[in-house]
Amino acid sequence: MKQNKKMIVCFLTPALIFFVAAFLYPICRTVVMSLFKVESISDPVGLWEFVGLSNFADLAETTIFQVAMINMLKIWLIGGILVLSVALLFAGILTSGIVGKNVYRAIIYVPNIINAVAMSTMWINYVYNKRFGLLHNFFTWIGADGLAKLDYMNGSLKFVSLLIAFCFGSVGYFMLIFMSGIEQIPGDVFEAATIDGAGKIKQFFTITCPLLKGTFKTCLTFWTVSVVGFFVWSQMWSAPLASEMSTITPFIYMYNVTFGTMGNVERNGGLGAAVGVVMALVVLVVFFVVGRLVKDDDLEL
Amino acid sequence: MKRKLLAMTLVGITATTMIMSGCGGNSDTKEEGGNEGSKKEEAAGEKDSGKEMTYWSMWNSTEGQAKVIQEAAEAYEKETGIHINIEWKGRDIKTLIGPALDAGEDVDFFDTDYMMLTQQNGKYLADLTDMAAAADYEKHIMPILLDNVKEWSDGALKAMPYQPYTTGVWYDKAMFEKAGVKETPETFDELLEVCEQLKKSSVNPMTCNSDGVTLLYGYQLARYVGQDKVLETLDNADWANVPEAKKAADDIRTLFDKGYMSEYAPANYPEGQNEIGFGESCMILNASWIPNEINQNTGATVDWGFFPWPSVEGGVDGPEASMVGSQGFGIVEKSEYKQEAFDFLLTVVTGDYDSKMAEAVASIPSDVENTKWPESVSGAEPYFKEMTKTYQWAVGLENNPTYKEILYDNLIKLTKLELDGQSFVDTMTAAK
Repeated sequence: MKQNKKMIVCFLTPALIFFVAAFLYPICRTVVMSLFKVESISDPVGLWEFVGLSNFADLAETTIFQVAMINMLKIWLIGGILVLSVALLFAGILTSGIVGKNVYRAIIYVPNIINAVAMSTMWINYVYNKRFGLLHNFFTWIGADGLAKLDYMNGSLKFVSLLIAFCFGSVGYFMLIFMSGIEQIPGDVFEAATIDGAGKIKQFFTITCPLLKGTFKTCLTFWTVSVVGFFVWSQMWSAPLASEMSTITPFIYMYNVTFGTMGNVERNGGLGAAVGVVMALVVLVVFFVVGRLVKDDDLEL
Repeated sequence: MKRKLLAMTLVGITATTMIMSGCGGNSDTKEEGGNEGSKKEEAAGEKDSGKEMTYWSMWNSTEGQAKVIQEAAEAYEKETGIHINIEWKGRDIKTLIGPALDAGEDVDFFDTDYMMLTQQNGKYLADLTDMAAAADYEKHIMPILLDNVKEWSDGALKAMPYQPYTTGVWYDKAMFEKAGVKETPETFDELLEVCEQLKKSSVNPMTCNSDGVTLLYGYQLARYVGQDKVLETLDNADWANVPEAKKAADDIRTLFDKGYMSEYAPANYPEGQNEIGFGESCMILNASWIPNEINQNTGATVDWGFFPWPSVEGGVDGPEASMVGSQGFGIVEKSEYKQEAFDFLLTVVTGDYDSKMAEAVASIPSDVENTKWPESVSGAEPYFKEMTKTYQWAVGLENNPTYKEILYDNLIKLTKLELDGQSFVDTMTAAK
């Protein structure tokens, strides 16, 4: 037993030290920093100026932060419905015994292994380009000149174009999670349903979906985390500007106020930290609410 | 038995691979080390001081500026025996350098936008006033840049500006000629006349990238009221009480409404600017790096002309006022080789290497004694030398991190003709 305790200590200590240094310390520092005005993010603590909760109050009153939160909410809600439904649909089809399952699965998953910068460059230059992009060429080909001239990268369509591109790249990841969830459902359940006369669609809605509650909860949490950390896509859509109304998200705003966009722009690492704290709270709230609403242990297989 | 055999085979293969890769790694390292050593000796010639300076660069190693700096560093090493270890950080340096220096990273000098260098990183930088005086450095640099640097550092000289830029309207001279335009416009009304002439010659008179709308509006408003009033209006969101805010918005809208701007403008970067290289549009308001960018992007060899953004009736500013800026080198206060770094940087920002850099990327030379400007930007030379007033980038319209996106969004709506001048002012006032 003593030997075992020593072994546990030996194996756990490095991981624990790593966790404290790499996760716990930055979290604590960020929470504390959010209560101060900090000119440069690496300023020594002695230079920090205590401002209490005023960073949070400023955030609540800042129009552009509110816009960023609304953008994030729209991505989470509209994008979430799109991504999770399409992923679930694909997962349902691919686990139904379709021929070439592995090929389709690989094709749908491919966007996930391509860097976000490369993916967004592809969408911006080869799909949305209003001179030679795929959509422009397609609408020109069918003679819809009005649609061919649509500007997907400016004005009201910019957010929509960003959302579609981001969702396209996200489907494969969630499809794999759903597929693994579906494959865990015992085959005899479906067999019994088939014998009872239930078709594939009925089985999907009455057996597959209810038994995927736990998987759905996992997907929703992962989706929330990825949307809260929405950064690169937004930056690519705004380039060469630092950010703009239609695509700004809280993390972009955090980056702007922490590092400054111009030489003479006032920076405040404390305000950036406050954004980080708010975002962490958002994830926790979603995690808590989803945990309360979706119980995954009410069905036993 | 089979399993044992398989396991032994795998172990054997693994061991052989490890040994071979280990040997290979060693020999590679030695070879590289040997090469590096011989290269160093070759570069150092007969001198080897044993000193080494570290430079964090805002450039990527493939850029024209980087190649000239690398060449200057090798020449400096050959002459002094001091090796310069260059780390090409690219534009991310603006977020990296502060934390790195606070963490004790051994950096002797670095570069970034000169305003960012002095205003955000000034606390890390050495005052170069004495070294500059001893080397008679200031006579080489445009006074207006030095004045800015000193103003931002309470009179101290903490940056060595280089690669200055100016802004104005860049145009294709051949298109002007074809349209019968003899003189460049000096007032906004004349600009509209030129646009009309160009339009009749079947080209888009102007174009712009979507990020250029703040420049257009910033210039126009500043021509009416000057930069200080623009900043005051912006800070107080006092648009409703500044009649010129509406006038400037109406003026810019006119360019789009009358079809003087390309139908694609404001286009996503760099599609708008590339229209000039493709022979579709004639003029663009932008910085002096734009001719080179367009030529590089499109493979065109445009014969470039330049004129400052025109003045307006009843306005306070004219061609004497322009958005200018530069990059800047700063030497870290904690460096033990400050004088050596200054001596090296002097060779980069003045004399032959400054000329080489200007030629390499078609930019303005930073040394005023380098009188030969690259052909594509030479049109700006007379105006640049007579300029007495500097504007910030976009006349400061992009300064406010909590407001600039709102302004930008409404400017896009204005240029898409979704807002008129009055509704632009109303929306901006309401967004306070």
